Amino acid sequence: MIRILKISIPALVTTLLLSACWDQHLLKDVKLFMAASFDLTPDGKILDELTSPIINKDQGGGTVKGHTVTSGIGNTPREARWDIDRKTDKIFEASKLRVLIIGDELARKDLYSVLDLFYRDPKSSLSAKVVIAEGMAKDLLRLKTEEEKISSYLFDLLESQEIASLIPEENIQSICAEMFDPGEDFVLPYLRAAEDGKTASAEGVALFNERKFTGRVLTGDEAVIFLLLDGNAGKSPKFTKKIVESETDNFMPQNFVSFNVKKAKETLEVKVKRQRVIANINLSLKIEITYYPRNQLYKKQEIAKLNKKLSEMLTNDAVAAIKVLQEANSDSFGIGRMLIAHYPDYWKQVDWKKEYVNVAIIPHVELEIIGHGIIE
Amino acid sequence: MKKFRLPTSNSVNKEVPCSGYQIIKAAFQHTEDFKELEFKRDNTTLLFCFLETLISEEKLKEYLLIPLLLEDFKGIPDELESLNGKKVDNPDKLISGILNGGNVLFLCERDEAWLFSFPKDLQRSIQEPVNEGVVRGPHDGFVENLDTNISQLRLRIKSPEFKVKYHELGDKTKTKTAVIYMKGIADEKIVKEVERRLSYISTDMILSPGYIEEFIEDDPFSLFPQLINTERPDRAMANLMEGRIIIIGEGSPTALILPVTFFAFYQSSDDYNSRWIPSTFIRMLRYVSFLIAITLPAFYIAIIAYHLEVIPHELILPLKGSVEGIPYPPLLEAFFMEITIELIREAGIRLPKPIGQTIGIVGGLVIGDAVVSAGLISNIMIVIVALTAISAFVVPSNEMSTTVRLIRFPLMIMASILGFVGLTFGLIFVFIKLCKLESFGVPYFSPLAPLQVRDLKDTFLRMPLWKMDERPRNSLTVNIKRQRDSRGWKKNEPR
Repeated sequence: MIRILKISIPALVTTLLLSACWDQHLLKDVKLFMAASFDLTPDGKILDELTSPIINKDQGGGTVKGHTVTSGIGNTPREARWDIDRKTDKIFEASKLRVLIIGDELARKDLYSVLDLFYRDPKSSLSAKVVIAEGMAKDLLRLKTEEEKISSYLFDLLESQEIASLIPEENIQSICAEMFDPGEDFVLPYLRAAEDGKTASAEGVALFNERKFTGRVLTGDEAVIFLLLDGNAGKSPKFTKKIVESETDNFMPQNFVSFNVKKAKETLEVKVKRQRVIANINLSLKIEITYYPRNQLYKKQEIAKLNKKLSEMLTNDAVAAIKVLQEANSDSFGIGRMLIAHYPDYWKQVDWKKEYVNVAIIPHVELEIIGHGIIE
Repeated sequence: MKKFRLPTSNSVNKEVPCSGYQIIKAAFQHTEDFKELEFKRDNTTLLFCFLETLISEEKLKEYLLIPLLLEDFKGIPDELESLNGKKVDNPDKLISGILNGGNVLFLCERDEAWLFSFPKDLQRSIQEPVNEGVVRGPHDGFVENLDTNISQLRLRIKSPEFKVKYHELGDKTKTKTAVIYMKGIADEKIVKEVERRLSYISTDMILSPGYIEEFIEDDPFSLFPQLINTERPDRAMANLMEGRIIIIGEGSPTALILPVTFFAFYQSSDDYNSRWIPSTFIRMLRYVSFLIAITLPAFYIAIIAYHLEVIPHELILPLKGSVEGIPYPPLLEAFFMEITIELIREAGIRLPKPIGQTIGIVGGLVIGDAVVSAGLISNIMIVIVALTAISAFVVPSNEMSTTVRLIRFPLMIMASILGFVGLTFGLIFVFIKLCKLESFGVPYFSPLAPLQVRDLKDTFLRMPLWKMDERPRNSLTVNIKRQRDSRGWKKNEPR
């Protein structure tokens, strides 16, 4: 016992004297930044803006009343951060970042030059969502929303659209591996601020080539079908399709059908035949009809007809989406990765970035109606 | 029955030629409750010596004086065994007999000394122990009288294998202490070891079993108690039947149970009185309470001071609003509140019940509310400390509850120095100690370390009683089989 005390007392005392000790990082002493934007200024510098909620201290904990926006300019994102730090009243703390918005001008140059800031810092918030903004990213932070916190407004907006599968679910961590993978490219959500400066809207999928934004965006049904083909879809992707063309009636809803995808299963097959890459993507969907005023779902052949019709339409959407993808030279299906794994010899001799445009990507969508709501 | 008046004063002939009398007289020289009565019958001098404060006068009259002296006196019989007397030659034995509530009768002419025992009945009635109440089950408890306690156990276990061994501890107090075990179930080696350790006790006073505990436990420097204290006969009985050993001392309602493991402190009689599924749930709850009680404040301090990243987004702003403007570092804040709770608890114990409750309300509600509005403590800290305090009191054993409350202070300091790393180191120390400790040869942290899968059925879970065919191995029992097939009626059809 005395032996233990002889060792432990000096050990404890020296621990207290070590410089790292008491190196606390108290919650009450920090200023939390919850949303950040990065933009390219006309003179080639980086403009960083951060929002921080204003907390009201009262009896029952804290309530939020609005937020402040702080901005800084520097040659690098880190320098811009230091610039912000100089203007901040408390200790700078960005580990609770929820949304990171990047202006499309900057994204077109190089996305990694911004993200390097986050990958290097052990405290950075890797689960923050990364978004590309149309125009300047800082405009999104300065929206006059009804919500108290712009960060939660943007976060909730993104989350709801991820579930609807209009935009991919990506964060700082999840895009890292794909960014450095020569055989795969990543995609990010694309946001636009409304004209009135009060709301933002999710537009679709921003396509990337290596580290650069290609400028091409998949929108609407193309974005949804792309995410389904990629196996990256949210919980309930939604479609509305016009199924009857010839009606002359002004009352349009009769001509449409809406449905949710309940189950999706996609398979990607990549083959090399005579030095030509052929990629087959088979997608089988189980759907539930959510709107169908023609109301003939009790007939078996009607269902079969609808299955066939919708399968065709979605295949056409898929072809259109793939066309955009190849024009943008963005291999986000990871076909290159499959080649590295299965055809390493071919991969070594090919210049993939040039060859990708020539790849035959053949989508095939199979659709099956499994539900129709509580009426037939 | 004729009236017999006990003479109030009785001068004894100093020159009674009685061997042993002078020694006794000298031993009890200055105490005024020492009484002597002298009678002369048939040329025989009868000399009664006793301590009037220890003896029951009614019994003395009824069973000795009246039969011997009054009822158609036919002379003193040669043998007094019919009156439960014992012939004693050794004067030391006479002294200890008197000290145990005995009465010595000298027959001077025959030069004989007889010892009779009429101890006073000094005991409170059997009540439910206040600190170990149960919802269902027996509501009796041990009392301060050793014989009553042993008879309570004997009434529960009607078996000749129930063995009692007496020891006199304390050079001056001569506290009678019983070591009780079940022969054929308990390991005799442990009984021997207990007796060996008891034989070394040379203090002059045994105040309570706490004394015995400190003298015989394996590691007196450990925070963890290595013997269970209980005032419940049913708990003592259950432990006897699992092959453990009980030590009960005269003058205390507390029985010591040994050898025990850490997990025994988290078992309660209630577990066996209700059905096994709710019992299992409640037992799990207790282990969760152990973890909460030792780690929660430390965990909170580590998060607030070092690891803001792990706070969920939804919680960070309320948390931040709560700690905003608190003047002290979280460690001091936590210490302040923990010590306040300990003060309220300590103040509440000794005060009379109605005032104790007032203290609880004043302390808990008024202080708790006022420190928050005064801006001294954040209200999240109040939540944490209150939760921790409640968790610490969930432990059925008071000793373990104290231990748990003490362990969290070093952990809080570690967490405030090094964050999660410090907390981890602190917990590693605690668990190393738990694994290393032994109680009378039983690993303290068994059945987890070393792992005894079969013993797990009555530690984390409370498996159905009909599944527990074997006694726990961690009592080192020599007879492992407890039952064969108590639900055999399921398999056999009635004839």
